[in-house]
Amino acid sequence: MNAALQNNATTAMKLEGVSKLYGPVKALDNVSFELRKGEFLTMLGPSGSGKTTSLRAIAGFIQPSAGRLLIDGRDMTGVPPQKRNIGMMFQDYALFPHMTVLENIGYPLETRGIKRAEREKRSMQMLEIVGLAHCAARYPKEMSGGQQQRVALARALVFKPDIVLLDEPMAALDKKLRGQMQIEIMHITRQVGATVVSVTHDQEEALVMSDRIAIFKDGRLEQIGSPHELYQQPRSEFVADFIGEANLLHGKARITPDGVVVEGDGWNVSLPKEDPRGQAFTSTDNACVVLRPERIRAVAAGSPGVNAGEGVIEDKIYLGVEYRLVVRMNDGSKINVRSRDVTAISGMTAGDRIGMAWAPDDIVIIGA
Amino acid sequence: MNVSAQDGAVPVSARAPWPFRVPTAFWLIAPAVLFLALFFVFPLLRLVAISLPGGSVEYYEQIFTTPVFLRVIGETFRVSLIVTAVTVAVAYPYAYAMAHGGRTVLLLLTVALLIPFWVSLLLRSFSWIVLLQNSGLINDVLIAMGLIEKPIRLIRTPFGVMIGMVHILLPYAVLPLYTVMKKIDLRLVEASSICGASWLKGFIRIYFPLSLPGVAASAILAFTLALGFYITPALLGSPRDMMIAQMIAGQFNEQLNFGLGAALAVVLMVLTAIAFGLFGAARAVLQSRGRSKDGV
Repeated sequence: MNAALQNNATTAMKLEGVSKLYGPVKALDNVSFELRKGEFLTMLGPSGSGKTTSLRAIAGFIQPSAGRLLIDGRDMTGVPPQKRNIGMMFQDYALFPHMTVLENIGYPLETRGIKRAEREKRSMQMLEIVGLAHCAARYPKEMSGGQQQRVALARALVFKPDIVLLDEPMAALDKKLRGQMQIEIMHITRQVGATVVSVTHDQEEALVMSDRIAIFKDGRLEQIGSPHELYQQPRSEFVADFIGEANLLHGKARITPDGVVVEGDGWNVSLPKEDPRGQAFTSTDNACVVLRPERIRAVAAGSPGVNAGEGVIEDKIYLGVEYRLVVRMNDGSKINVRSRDVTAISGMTAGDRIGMAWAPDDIVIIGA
Repeated sequence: MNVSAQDGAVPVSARAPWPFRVPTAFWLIAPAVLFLALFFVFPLLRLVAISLPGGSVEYYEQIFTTPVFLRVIGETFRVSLIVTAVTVAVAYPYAYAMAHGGRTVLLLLTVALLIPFWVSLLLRSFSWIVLLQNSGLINDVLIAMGLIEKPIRLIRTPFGVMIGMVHILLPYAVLPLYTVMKKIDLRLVEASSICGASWLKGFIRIYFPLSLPGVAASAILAFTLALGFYITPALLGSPRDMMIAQMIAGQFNEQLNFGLGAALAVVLMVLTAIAFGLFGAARAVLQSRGRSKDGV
């Protein structure tokens, strides 16, 4: 069934130019994207970027000032949360303290008028899926944070909602549990075939769990795509910096007979004529080059060439599997290099000049 | 003469430690304890002694064999129960608005609640006379609007007593409710609605059960205060609506029958304690049932 859904890739939800104003403050600014059925989408961004506002608008807790929200093709404007058939796991779970685990999970079924026996049967099935069948009679406060989270997840999934929302799912867990629960939530939501929208400010969590990531900044949707796309083809410095580790080098473009060269003080990137990335540039345009630390090769100093640079080693850190170097460029900016080329680096020390080289394919250029 | 625990560790003091270690906290509560012992516990014991002259229970016999006393005691409990129910019912939405209505609403409602609180009880009861009497504001307005022809009798009726009592008890009932409601996490209500519950369903299943400790606290407070009301029923009620406090005062002030008055006071106290105990027991039973019921 999952495969069929992915093949069809039908739309579960659509945001069309959604904005939300609080007085003069634009909490959401013209946000549009689509959510496919069965997909796990994470809205990622720093605090105040609009990701939580989007989530609350999807849930129906707030009404957008402009734009439309469609779920399964139906316009949700003015539809209250209880009529949206959406499941939600709250940041600190919002389990009902006066109800047992089983009653908590059964509550969405209760509100849908399902009889007690059927309710308990389905709640128990859900409890088994999240691995807490032995806790049915307990009260939320008698359980650990990780267990409470699974109960909250079960409550959000038990009625087979059209969409499941996860609000900062890992925020209330300690670091050790996070990694484990990330995988577990991913497995469980996949197992029941849920369509999930999650919110987080933790890029690693987003990378681990998501089919696609929507990056928010200042109320706007900055870029949406698979983790791979965002890492390989960030469209802005913000995205490049936010997903993974990135060195951002600012330089100027220069058109040459062979193509485009972007260069700064002591480094350059050369794109051949047929490379589409260079064709947008004219001479003297500012450009930003994104260099991933693990894509930089350390070479001997004093051999300048194309697609290369030079700097001074500030710090050299040995991490077992690799070296980490902090290199100061001629203009004073610093870049990180991660290299497993032990033979090339072991002889170098802080203060030495170092040469660096990279392949044009490993480089992303952002017009600035 | 320091008696704190650290003292023993100081080498300068070669003396044997003070043999009776009194916790430091004791000295903080000592003035209050002393005050209560002197001006509350002692007179109370005296009152009990007066009600039992020479160990005789004649006054208690008199109370429990005289219909008028029993009627007044019964009436006192009946009025107090009704007043408590009405007060809590009125206080609930008021406290809800205070807890969840935002800052401006909270400020306005708090001021509206507390200003009468600062006005003396006597003055407030008199004000109700002004409002409720046959030529009072309420009757005047109703007549002017043509809704009634002759004034309705509002004062010197149980209804008048109850209105006055509810008004005076309202702040006592609102504040414990507000304290509990303010702590209720509104995300639980959001969670209820995203689970598919209407506002009413969420209120019945989630909000109201969570506010019950506040309801209990405000009901207990209102009820015990209502049992001892004196001025308000005296001013707004008829002699038929007499409550037990008036009768006690009558025995002391008019009949000069200190023994009987003291016995009535003791009866009021004991009955209040029993009501308290029953309430506590009911709550304990409810809670334990709530627990065992969920043993799936």
